[in-house]
Amino acid sequence: MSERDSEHDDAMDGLLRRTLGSRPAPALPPGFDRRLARRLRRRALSTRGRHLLVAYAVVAVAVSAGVLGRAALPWPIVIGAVLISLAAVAAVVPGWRPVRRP
Amino acid sequence: METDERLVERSSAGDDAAFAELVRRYRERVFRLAVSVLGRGFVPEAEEVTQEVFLRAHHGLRSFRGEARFGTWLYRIAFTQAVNLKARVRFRAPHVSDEALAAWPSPDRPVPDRLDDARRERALAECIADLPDVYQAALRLHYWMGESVADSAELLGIPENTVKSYLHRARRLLHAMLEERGMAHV
Repeated sequence: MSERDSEHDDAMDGLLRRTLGSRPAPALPPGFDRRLARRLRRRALSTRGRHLLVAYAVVAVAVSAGVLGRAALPWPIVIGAVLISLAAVAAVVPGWRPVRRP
Repeated sequence: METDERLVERSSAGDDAAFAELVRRYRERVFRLAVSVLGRGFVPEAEEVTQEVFLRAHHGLRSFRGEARFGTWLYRIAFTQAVNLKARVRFRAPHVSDEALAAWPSPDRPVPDRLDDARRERALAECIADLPDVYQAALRLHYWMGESVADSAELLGIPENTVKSYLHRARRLLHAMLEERGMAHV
């Protein structure tokens, strides 16, 4: 780096310190934890909610398998269709994980 | 004090208190990283990014395999989230304009000097906004937030020498940009 470049670099360093450095750095707004906890609660299903979801999934699987089976589709296709549907739902539904309160 | 790894284990077993402790440890740093990417006019968006980072972390704890440190993993999510959000809010006016911030009163200086300062600061803010995201983040972390090169490197997930190189290149680019605007005498 030439002497001129070095001078420019020092000058920019000084300017940045004077301008950016003179502003107070922002802090996380108060109430952040409360807002985050509320959003986490919304996303996590309660135990009862998970039980209901599992019960619904079991009934849905049984009905789907019955209907598809009566339509004379081969069983591998019926099982494949049901599993793919379940996997798709599991991928998009947030909050599968159980929540244990301390 | 419990290690991050232990807290991650407890959190992924569903212990909310352990996750709350992880949030307490990392929330400020994640927020600072988000602000450094988004800029000073987007503090509410930076809070939104910080919340999203912890929501994603909570949801993805089981996929966290401990190959990187928990903090590094969080910072990576935060940087990506902030850059993505920035692409969406690029054309939205900040909540507090850089012009307003540049007019920050400094009563101990004469009025003409203050006007010069304001003009130069506005030009500088515009030039910084034209730099690549990672240069902007490095500049804001180092000069605005007062983070050391080592801490900036940790937040950005890059080696210290790379941070130094980014800062140097950013200063050179800024000097050239200000020169183009006839404001090279800084």
